[in-house]
Amino acid sequence: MSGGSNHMKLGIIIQTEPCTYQDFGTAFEIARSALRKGHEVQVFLYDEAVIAANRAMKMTGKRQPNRMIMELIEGKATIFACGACCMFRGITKDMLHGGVEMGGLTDLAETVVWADRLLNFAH
Amino acid sequence: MQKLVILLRSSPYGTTNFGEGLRAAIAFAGMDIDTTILLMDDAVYSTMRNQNPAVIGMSSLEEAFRSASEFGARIIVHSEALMKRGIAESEIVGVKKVKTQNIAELVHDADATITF
Repeated sequence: MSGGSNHMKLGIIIQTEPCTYQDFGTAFEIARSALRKGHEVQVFLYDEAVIAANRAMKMTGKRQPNRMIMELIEGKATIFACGACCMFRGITKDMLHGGVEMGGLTDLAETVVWADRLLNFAH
Repeated sequence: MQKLVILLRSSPYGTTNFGEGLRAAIAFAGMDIDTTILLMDDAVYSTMRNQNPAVIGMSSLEEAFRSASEFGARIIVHSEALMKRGIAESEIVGVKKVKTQNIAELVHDADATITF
C-alpha cells in the first residue's frame, strides 16, 4: 500500500445485471487497479447487480463475477449487496460470498459520503 | 461528498428504476446530503398532474415528491424533454424547469451523479 497524498477513497455503485452487461467487469478492472495502487475501494451492488454477490453464480469463459468478487475481497475492498434487492431475488445471507455484507440505503448513502470519487454503472 | 444529483431518466412506471431512484433520493436527503432530483427523458412524465398509479398497484409519485421536498431535496425537470413530449406547463405539477445548459452546470458542479 503506497498511501500518501494521492490516496483516494473510490466508491462504486453498480445497478446493471452482471451476465448481460459489461459494467460489472469494467467496474472490477477499475476497482482492482485502484486497490493495487493503494487506494481504498467500496462497492455497492444495487438492483440487478446483487446477483454477483451470490457465491453459487458460475459463468463460463473469461468473465467470472464470482472470481472477481473474491479477488476484490482479498484486495481488502468493502463490498455491500443491497439487502432488499437480494430479498426480492431470493438471495439470502448464507448465499453470499464470505466478506460481502448485506447493506441498506443507509450504507449506500454512507458510501456516497465516504467516497472522494464515485463511479456509477447504471442503465 | 457534498452535492449529489440523482438523475432519473426512465419512465415512472414499467420498471422499478424510477421508484428505486426516488426512494434512494429520499434516503439521501433524509441523511442531510445535499440532493437534487433531476428528471430527464421519459422520467419527465412523472411530473404530469392527475395521475392514478393505484390502478396498476403503484404508489403516488406526488406523495413521494412531497416527501423528497420535505427532506430538503430539490426537484428539477428538463424543459426540452417536456417540450419534446408535448407536455405543457399547465399539465405538470409545480417543479422547477431548467434548460440543457443549466443541467450541464448542475451535473458539473455535483460531486457525484447516480443514474436510475
